[in-house]
Amino acid sequence: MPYTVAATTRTPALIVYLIDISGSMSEKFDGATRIDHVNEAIGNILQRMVQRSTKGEIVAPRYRLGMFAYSDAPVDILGKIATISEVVQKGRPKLSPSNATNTHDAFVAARDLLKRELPNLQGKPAPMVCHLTDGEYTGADPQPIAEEIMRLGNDDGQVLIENIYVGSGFAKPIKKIDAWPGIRSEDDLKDNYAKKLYRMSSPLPESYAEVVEQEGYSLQTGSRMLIPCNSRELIELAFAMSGATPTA
Amino acid sequence: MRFNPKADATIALSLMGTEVTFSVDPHPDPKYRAVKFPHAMTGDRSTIWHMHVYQSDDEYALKVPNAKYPGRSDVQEICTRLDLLKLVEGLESSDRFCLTREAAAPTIELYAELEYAVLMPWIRGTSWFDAHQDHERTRSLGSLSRWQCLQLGHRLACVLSELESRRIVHCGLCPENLIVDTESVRVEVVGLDDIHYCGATQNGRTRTKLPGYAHPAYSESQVDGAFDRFPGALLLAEILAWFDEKVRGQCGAESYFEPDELQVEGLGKFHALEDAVSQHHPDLARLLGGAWKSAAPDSCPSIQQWRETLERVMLTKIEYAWLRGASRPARRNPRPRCWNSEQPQGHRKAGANGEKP
Repeated sequence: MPYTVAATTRTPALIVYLIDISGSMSEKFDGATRIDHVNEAIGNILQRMVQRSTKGEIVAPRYRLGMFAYSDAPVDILGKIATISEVVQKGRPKLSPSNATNTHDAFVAARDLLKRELPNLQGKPAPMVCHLTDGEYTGADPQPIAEEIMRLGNDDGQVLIENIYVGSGFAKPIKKIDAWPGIRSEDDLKDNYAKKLYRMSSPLPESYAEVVEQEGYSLQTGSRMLIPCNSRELIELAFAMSGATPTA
Repeated sequence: MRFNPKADATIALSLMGTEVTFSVDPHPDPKYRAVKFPHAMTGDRSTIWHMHVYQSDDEYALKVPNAKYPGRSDVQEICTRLDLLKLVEGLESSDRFCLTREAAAPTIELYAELEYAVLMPWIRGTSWFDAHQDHERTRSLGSLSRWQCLQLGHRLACVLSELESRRIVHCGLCPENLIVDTESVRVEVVGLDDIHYCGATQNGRTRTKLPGYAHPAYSESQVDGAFDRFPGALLLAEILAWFDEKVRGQCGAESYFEPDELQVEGLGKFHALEDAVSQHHPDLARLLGGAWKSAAPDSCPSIQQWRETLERVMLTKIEYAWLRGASRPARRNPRPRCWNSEQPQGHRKAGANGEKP
């Protein structure tokens, strides 16, 4: 069955974050700027990963993270693929908004990194790319690159892409986040860019749905790994999904 | 309100009408302490928070079931079942207080997630999982003498054979569920939620996923009195052999053997383990070999056989007198707990000092 290899010290999960830091990320919603919500959510998911990797006092290296911030061009903010311990030691990344939204180049950076890494990922969890953006791309269309990435993979499954869309892309508002089953069709979305992101997102594997459920959510297997976020809680849910590789 | 406290946050829990204030311990690693990460461990069913009674040294673990864990309502029954074991040496974490609507209403009103959370003593020592991760950092374990390993192995055999004699299986024997304290020569077995009383009908979900420890021939329907024998033999052998640098060096990161290495004939890692164990006595290596070659859990040597052999080996050593005194498993009086002592430290009236997370 795909997506069942657990994140362990010997088989760590690789998660690549692509974070849009265009100027509009400084706009406010739900009491803070979008980028502030993202910074907080990154801190929370790092804490969650640390908790999932601690079985005493030592933090086992169960996760490896890549992190690109992008506006005009992607910047590798960790400088390498790093363990959580290295990320925390470096200081949690603090992102601040910049200019354009070159989503295409960010996905190219992720694809190139995955192509380098995949030969060493046999027997390990299928990697994940978690992309966060708040608006339409400038420059080339990122969809062909995203589709190329989703065709890559290892023996655990094809690379997963999650998209977090900070904006109001829903056709209907979500009333109870913890009971929300996720997006199952393009018709659930109202704006065209959200629909494009739907096509750039993987279906949620069963094993991930189980882990997300443990966090108190009800996302269904097969719903798209696309979370349009218009509240702090939805950003929280979206990042919880990014850290949902099963652990031993 | 979501229960997700930061390090050093204080939390007032109402325990049978008495409010006790706890402080959440920071992560013991300074890197994580610096960013205020709490000392907490999340598994597939629950998160365990390390806390202490405010302004005291009394440490506790608060085990909070995951939001949608289907076995939440079984927790109280599990606590009742475990109460019978709280005087058994090495099973200190069976002394539990379950936060139910009857026992902790104000707390559950504030944090709905804490319904069926369990408060239990925090067990000091080094988790065997950490010993696997980094034996340089777990220095006290990296420099164990052969004699200390023998003592610790004996302690573990005593705890497990006590369970075996009561026809109880732990079902989750793996490194994260062993805590070793070299100073007091103590081994505590934790992770008791899956404990299974053979022959009894019981609610609760038994988890038997033990990568690197479950007998390869084990099948889901087969939780019987022999289930612990194979993982028990491997863990006993690991502890007995830990004095040997070669064994420590070959140890996998989360289990000594990878799941696909179990019972492989001629495996170098197995022979390293067997050699180190036989340095105590060849009979112990024979028990390990018996488990390794067994066709099924019930054909593995019993834990009682391990215990008897270890006692015989120890009695042949010069420390005979010590064994007869300090090392003999004894019933102990339980330490007073914050939920039943008359004047718990950190006790305060509702609404007094203390920040809420």
